[in-house]
Amino acid sequence: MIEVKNIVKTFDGFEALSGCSLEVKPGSVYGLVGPNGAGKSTLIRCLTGVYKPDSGQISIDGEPIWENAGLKSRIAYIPDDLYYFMSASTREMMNFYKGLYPKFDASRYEKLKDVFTSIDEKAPIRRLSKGMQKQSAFWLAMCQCPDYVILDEPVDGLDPVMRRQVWSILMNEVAERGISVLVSSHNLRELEDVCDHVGIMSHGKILLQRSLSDLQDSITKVQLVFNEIKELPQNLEVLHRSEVGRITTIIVRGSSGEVLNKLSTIDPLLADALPLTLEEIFIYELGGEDYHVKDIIL
Amino acid sequence: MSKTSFFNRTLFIKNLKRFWPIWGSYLAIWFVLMPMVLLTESYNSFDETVYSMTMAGAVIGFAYAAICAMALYSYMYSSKSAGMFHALPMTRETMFITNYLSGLAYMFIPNLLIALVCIPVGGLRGDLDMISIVIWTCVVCGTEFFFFSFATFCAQFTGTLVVMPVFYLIWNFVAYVLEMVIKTMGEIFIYGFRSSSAGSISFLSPIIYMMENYGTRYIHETLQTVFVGAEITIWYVIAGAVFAILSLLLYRKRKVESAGDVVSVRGARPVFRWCVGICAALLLSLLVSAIFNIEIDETAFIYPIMTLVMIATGFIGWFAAEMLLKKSFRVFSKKSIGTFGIFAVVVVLCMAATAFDLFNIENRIPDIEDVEFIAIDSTEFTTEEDKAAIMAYHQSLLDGKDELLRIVRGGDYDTYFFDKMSYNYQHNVSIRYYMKDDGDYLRRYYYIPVTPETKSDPGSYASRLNALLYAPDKVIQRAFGSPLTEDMVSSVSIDFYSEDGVWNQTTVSGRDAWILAQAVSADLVAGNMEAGLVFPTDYETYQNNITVTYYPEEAEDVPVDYIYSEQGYHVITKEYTETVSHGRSFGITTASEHTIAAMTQLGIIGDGQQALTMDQY
Amino acid sequence: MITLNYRDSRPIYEQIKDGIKRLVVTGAVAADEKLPSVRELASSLAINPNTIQRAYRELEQEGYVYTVAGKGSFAGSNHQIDTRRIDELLAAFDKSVAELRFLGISTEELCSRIHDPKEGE
Repeated sequence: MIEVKNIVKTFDGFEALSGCSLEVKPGSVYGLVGPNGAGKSTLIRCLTGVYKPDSGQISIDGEPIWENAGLKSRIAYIPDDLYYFMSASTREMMNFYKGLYPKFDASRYEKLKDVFTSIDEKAPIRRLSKGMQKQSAFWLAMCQCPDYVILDEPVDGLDPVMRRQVWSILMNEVAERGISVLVSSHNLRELEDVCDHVGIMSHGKILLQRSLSDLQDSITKVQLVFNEIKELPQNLEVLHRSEVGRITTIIVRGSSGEVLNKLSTIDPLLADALPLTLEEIFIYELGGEDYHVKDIIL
Repeated sequence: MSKTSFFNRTLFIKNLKRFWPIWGSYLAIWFVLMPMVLLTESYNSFDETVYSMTMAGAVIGFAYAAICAMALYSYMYSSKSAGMFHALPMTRETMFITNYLSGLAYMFIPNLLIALVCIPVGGLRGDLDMISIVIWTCVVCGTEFFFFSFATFCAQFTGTLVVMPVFYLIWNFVAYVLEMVIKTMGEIFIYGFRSSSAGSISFLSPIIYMMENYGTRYIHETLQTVFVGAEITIWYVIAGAVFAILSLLLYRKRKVESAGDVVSVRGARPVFRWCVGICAALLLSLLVSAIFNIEIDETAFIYPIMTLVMIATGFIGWFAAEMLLKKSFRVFSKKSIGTFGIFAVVVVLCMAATAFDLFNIENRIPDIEDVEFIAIDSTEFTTEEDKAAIMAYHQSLLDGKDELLRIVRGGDYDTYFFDKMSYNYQHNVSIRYYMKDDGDYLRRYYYIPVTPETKSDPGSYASRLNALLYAPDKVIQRAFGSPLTEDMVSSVSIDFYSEDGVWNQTTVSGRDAWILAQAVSADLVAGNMEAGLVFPTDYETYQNNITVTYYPEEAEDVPVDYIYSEQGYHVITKEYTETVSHGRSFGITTASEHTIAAMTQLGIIGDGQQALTMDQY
Repeated sequence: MITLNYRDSRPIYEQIKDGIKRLVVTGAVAADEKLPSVRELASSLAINPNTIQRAYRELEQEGYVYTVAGKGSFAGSNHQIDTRRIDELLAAFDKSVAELRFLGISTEELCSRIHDPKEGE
């Protein structure tokens, strides 16, 4: 369990994190989403013990992460910009990590060779393409047998097949060993599949943090055609409204059941509740946050 | 995989593998250098050669310490690598200590290997000496321990790789350079001031201090060469340990996000600004004063002018530093100019204090009780009356400051070459006070005018100086150290030249030598023999020299710390005495009546004998 | 066995539910036969296991599957079916019928269809 309580982090006057709190329950996959500059990478660096927050607490399994080598040995962190020693190959890095991480499993390294077939383990990682570098990082991370996996923009640059592979391995670990994963990404389509919790971050704070199912249940898209009553009921919290011909599309807070119930009072000709994608939820939740989103359908 | 806390074997081995070119090249250099020097050195003995290689060790170590530090700490200087390293399951102490020990290992292990190589080489040579090898190893390792610890310390203050060696170089030499600059400026701004070695802080510039102090000394009694400077190494090792500990403390507090900054420790930023400002003010002002030949004169305009120059040059340095810190050109704001204002005020205060001699340098004459003796050039004044007389003379030079500066400035006083009837030059009076407690000395330097008018005026500065210098006991002291007695005189010889220029020497000893020596002393006292120290003489000099060889009354007590010979630095202390005879030569002049009379009386010159010849040139 | 259509706007867990339901209803997995485990599905589909858990839970409530602790989930037989689901489906049925009739499909055609269902469209 990862617990972040009210952390503040300032860089030379600029407040990157202003009282940020989140929680990742054990065995869950937490998606961290937010616009560029929200502070996601900063938060992740605080989580992994790289940056020290100015105030607040970060603890994993009840222990503070700062300078905690024992805890760090159970975390695999793949940052968005990877660093490798000048001429180190995947195999050399494997030997390096083997000496540093107590639970490192060299046999897993051999097994995963069949998954990461396009990587030459003896080639210097620097010379590989960006996508292959990420694969190499992932390969090594999995060999650490971590209890926590923290990924900052993990699958950018991977081809769809490798993406699927990587997630497949991770999901297997979650199901089998109950590891927790925190993923920061812009690819909401993908997060929707793999996350069970989502945290939306903006301007250094977590605006909201909910389980995916709750999130999906808390906002509904309805396509309706008005009948005699041409107005929406007052008790509907409408986040967005657009009209195409006679069909009105509204995005409303509440589960589909509640919303349709409320709409029945105006007896529409047609009222269909449609599921929202995570992208749409993201856009509409942040719509009031200076995030200039007009009718963009991503 | 070992889990010893504070040291991580995996990282250590990785460091060895990763940076093998560094320790590899270090090893290669010494592997070639040491045996080559030992095998080709035939003049000096094995131990002397090995000892002389300590300086090479210091210089190579100085450079390599920086290279090792740059390599091992490079991870701190980019956010990517810093992020990766600090996410590893290692505490900062472990990382620091492992990297630090790696750096030391890069140099220490090759040192040990080279030491081992010296053994067979010494065997080949035939004069193997184990102690020198051991000492070489310890001194070089100790020196490198210091330099690497210092480089580690420098590394903590920045977030940019190239800045680290810049800090390292600058801080290693800044003390020496600033000391020179301040002394030079003192000589420009303060009437009469000349620097001395007192209060020297050159130990803060280690490589220079080592160059000055590492050496060997030959002990006659045991016919052994010993290494001098080991105590210095020990002090530097202690300093190195302090730097290492401070570095660890700083590293613990280091912010990973400072990667990329010029100065990574927040508290050090104002210090950086001030230091760059001060250095720029001092160095550039010195340059300006050299280019425009600015010197002190009776108007004291130098002070306001140089204050402005220092403020302007300090401004350049200050805001250049600010631009580096903020990494932008836009650094001028009310606040920054306000802070600079404080700097400007400090400059003004310091210059004002110097101008009004608040530090009591210009007007300082030491207390007579603290002074052991005073020297004006080679003349020594040791009695209480003498000392008081010199101090009074010094005071008069201070009192006459404006007048002297004006005269010296205004005339065309730039020549020593004069004609005997109407000469007009400036003579420098160099006064050195040798203090009792620590053997340090205070040096002052004044210019006085020398003209025929000053010669005829007994109260002029020139005449008064002349009177002081030509007291009979002073004359003899300059020539022979103390009055000669018959047993002191060993022999006297005179050079003669035939018409064809053939040289020939006549030597006498015993009674005749004593007669000649007395004659020479008489001529010296009468002022017939030497070139005039203050006023020019009106006699001519013969080509012939007369040399008196004698045993001095006491051991040479010259306040010199060491002499340099081909074998390196040999330290001479006051206990070193040797009964050597000294020879002093004097040019015989047309006025040397006593000497000429004595030579005639002894039959050395005269009818049918060799004649004194004038210098044809 | 179960595929996901990424273009489908329905939530993943619904698609999974449907997929498993189809396996059970068509008899592709016979009654009391073991269904793929949460882990297998999560891994092969690259989907969050909790989502799969949720699907299985709801299917269990609706009577399509049953779970044995420590062993996994198994296909249910039709006597475990839940009436609420029947009501839901009938309502959907009514809706479809209404639309079809609007589009001109006759009742007879609809009846014949019930007798002789065409699959796989």
